[in-house]
Amino acid sequence: MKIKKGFVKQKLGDTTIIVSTGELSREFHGMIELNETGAEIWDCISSGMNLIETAQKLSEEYGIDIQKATDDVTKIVNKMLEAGVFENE
Amino acid sequence: MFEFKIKLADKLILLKSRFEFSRDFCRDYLFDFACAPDITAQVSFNEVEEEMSAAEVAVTPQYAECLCLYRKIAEKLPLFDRCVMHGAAIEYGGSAFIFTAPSGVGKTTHIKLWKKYLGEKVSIINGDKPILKIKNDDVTVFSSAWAGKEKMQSNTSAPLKAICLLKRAAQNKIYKVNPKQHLAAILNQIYLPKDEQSAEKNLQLFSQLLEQTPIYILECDISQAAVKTSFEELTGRKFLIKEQNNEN
Repeated sequence: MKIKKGFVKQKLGDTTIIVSTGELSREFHGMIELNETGAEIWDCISSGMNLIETAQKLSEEYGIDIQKATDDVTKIVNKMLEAGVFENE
Repeated sequence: MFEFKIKLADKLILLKSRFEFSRDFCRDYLFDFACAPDITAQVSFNEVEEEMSAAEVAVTPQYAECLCLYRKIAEKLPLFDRCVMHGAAIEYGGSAFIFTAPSGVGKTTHIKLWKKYLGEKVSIINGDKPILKIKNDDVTVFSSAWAGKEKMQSNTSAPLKAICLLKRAAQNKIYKVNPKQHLAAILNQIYLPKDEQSAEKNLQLFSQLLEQTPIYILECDISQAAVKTSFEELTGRKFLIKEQNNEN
């Protein structure tokens, strides 16, 4: 799972917004809004971590159980899939 | 090629154009300088063609080049703490107010109504694409030569007091909102550079803009009451209803 090149993000308090630039902005319009957990998940995935690794990191960092962390990760990844942010491999 | 120099939002810009039209278009902003420009912009013929085929209404090559030049400038402005916003900016009592909305909602109509009912006290900074200079402690609205179909602009600037998201409605109403609930609506009206570095800077500016600028939603029709609604809330002054002229 690899996030397409060309996204830039900005933190606005507890919200993070992500928009596309360059060639990507031709196919990707609009803006993604993420809360703190969502932004953390985005960062993990974009650094190359898989779903399990991401859920583990989240679970350790926030002291939540692994099931809850997996649910959070799945939810955000679904949102990212819907928005079409991943490269087709 | 025509080369000419302009000053936009206090930045020195060197433009190279194929058509004389662009220089004439920028006539209110021509500014001679001897030092190196902050920004240089030039458009290839391919880009002119692309602009023409992408335009919603047919445009001449001259006008297409001109639009491209502004886009090139807008690409680089964030690197100088500035960005281009799609909106109608007016000045009243030394403060600037921006009404923004997607094209066709009625920004121009609303500022024309301000002009109609408040007269000389209102000046139009730029009817379509003003430039915002965003610093940590203040935001200033500047005009530019690019001002939409109606070309309403004057080469002035004023500190930004508020941004209004304009919506059409049968009842006139204005209320302050939490910008967090309207991020996309506001960001959609700001030129987002294609260049990654510039785009990142642009988002930082966007964040700074929201920290210091009150955001309102204005629901309005096209009556005098619409002006009363926005004027009183934005300026904190009393709007005196103008009697309609009853003579036939």
